[in-house]
Amino acid sequence: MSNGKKKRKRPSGSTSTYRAPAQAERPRRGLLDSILAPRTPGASPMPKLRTTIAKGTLTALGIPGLLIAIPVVLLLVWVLLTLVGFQGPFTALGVTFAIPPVTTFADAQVAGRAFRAAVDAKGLASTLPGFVGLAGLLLLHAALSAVIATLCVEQLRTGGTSSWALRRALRVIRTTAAVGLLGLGLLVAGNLVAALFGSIGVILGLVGSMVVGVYLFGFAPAIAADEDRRVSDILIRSVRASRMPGSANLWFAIGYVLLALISVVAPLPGSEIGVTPSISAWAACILVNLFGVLVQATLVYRYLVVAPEVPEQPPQRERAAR
Amino acid sequence: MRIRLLLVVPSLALAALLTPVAAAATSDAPWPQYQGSAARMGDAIQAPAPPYRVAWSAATDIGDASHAAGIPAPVIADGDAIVVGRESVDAVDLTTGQPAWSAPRSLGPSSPPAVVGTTVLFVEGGGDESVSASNSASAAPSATASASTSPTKSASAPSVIASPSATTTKSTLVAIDASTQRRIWTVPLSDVSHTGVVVAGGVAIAGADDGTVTAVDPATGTQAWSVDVGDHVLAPMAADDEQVYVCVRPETNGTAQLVALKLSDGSEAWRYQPSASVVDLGAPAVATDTGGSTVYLVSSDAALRAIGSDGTQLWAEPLYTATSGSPPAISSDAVYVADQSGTVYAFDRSTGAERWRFATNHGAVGAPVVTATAVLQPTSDGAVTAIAPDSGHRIWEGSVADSAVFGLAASSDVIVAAHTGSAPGITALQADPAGTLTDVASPTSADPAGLAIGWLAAALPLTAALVLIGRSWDQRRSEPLLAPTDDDDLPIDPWEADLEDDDT
Repeated sequence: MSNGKKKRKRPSGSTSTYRAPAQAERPRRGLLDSILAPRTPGASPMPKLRTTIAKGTLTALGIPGLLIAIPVVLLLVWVLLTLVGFQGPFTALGVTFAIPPVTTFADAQVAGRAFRAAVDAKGLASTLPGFVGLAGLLLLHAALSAVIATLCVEQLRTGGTSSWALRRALRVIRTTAAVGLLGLGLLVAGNLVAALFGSIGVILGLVGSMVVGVYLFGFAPAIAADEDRRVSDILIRSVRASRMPGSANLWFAIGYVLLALISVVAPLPGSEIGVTPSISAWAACILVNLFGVLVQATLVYRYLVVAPEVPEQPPQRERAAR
Repeated sequence: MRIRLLLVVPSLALAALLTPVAAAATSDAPWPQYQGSAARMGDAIQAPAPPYRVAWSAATDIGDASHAAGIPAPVIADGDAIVVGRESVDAVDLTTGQPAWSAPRSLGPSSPPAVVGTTVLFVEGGGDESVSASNSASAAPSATASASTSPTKSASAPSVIASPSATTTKSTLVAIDASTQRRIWTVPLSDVSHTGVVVAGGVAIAGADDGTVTAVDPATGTQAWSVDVGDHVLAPMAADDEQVYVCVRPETNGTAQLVALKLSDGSEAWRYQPSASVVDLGAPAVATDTGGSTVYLVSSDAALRAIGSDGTQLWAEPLYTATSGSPPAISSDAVYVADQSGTVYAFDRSTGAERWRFATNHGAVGAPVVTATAVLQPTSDGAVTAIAPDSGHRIWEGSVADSAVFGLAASSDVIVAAHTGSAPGITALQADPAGTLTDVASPTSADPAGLAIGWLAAALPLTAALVLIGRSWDQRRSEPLLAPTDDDDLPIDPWEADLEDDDT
């Protein structure tokens, strides 16, 4: 994992002792090379799901700043959205700390109401407000996901957090934004499938695209926070990590997406039109978003455990070679 | 009671003075057509004021939630509330709530009737378009007039405007004598009809799915004229003294249009076409004053539009969500409309400026009705909400059914609500002297103190509990979460590498 550079001391004033793996020069490959490549043979180094979830939960709960940030961010986002005309339902904020493309799914609905074009607007004016709103929400989720990833990486590596996480998050945003864009693309593709195949297509297309997004790119924020790589390399590595054998990552992604969708469509407190959420609506929203944070922390832990085992090259197609 | 009368009578008189247009639009019968008159203004200055209590409920053939179809909105004439059901037209005595009469009708989607003297005009036939029939046939025509992505419960609410019928049967325009229930005449229509009947300028008019609009003499059934205005005519029509206003939905791709036809010969006066994103228009309502007529209607892009007497758009204002396609209610100076989320809006009639909005959070299918003291909005879960026209605050709300209320009608004594549900039929509301009025602001009104209190009450204990749990677990943990790595193997912190690069 080392690039052979000599080790250096952290600048004075920094309390964290975290040292992340540095960038290694690797041959560039296409994203599809990793998706279509055969899975890495052998036993899985992935920890069991139960262990992963427990450790991820402990990681997130061990960062007080992150726990305090959840309601604070929710309040800020809600105030901003209501200022631009959004009037609910408040449950739309349940995906604030979720993982793309689940976030994008709800963002499209929020953007359609909060960033609506004027009646009878034509051309660019008819699409620009919604596009800008969607882009803004995508960047918001990217920033939050980046901060969560860096905080969890530092917590796991050092047992504590420092300003390093926030500084590092500025670099991770590129990756999390790319993941958000990929999620948007997957959702668009999923909508096409849904349109073609009717009600079954909704499950295949929409839910499937969300599962694929979480499954393939769920590790990307952790990789970006822990390693110095190009965005494309990070995405490829995330795909490789997710496809490690016996990892149950697909089931993890399916379970997360279903639970996240339930939290979006369920008649939770705050599912009505209105700009003053009740106490129960706030509580439900905080808990739903805590769930999203725990899942992200779980993915970070899961990746850090197996990081040394994730192959840099796609496994050879042995059968074809023979 | 005396005090109540002292308050109500002057207010009614004042409202009558301030609403000459509304007064002129009504006829001798209190509510002989859909939304009160051919203009569909939904104005009921003679109606009792809230609070209300249920006076009576009567079963009719509207059908339960899975069997109701179309717009079973009531009318009132000759002391009876009349509603078109699935296979009968039912009249209920307004005073007692007892069945007055019932006339058979060929199965078809319900639509608003019209009453001229003792003649009741309605449309029959067209087949079963209910949810149950659609499910059994697996060929359900879409039931939404507007493309809505609302995640709220109102998203599944039925629409006032139907989709083009998939059945092969056709509808018939029927006239019966209310006193004998005998058929006076019938006129076959060219396709299934969902529009109901509008009577204006001496003709009774009905539209058909194939775009045909037919006008007949209400006394004899003799055809006055028939024109094809375009692809589909599905929404109830409105009329003033000179023109009838017809909404045309395009076949597949295209833009919806509003067509004004002259009542005299059916010739086209003008045709309004909104922007290309509008695939459907709701049922129109028309108000006439000295400057001419203005048509108000909703569009599928979640907007309320005002169209002038020459067919030009006067203004268009956005709504929060799409609507079910019901016509707005019109008072002397304001237009009231509800969207599918159940949010009721008041707009200035001349400028389109939004005066207030109230989120009922009940979902709305039927059209609002405006009285001298309240805007009454029927909801998709069986409630009727009364909102003060001046403040936009809810002053009363009551339940009349356990499912959608499709429409209201008003006399001087009662408000009549036609509804589906476990006991589909008509329920009458009357003034309740013992009831109390409320003064509830809309949930969409900003309440910074309430926002802060709600947030603090939820966030503080939850966050504190989570932090304490985290600390407790952290202290009890005996080993690090992540297995320690040999320090010699640790690579360079990329952030430090960046700093080094910056230095050099």
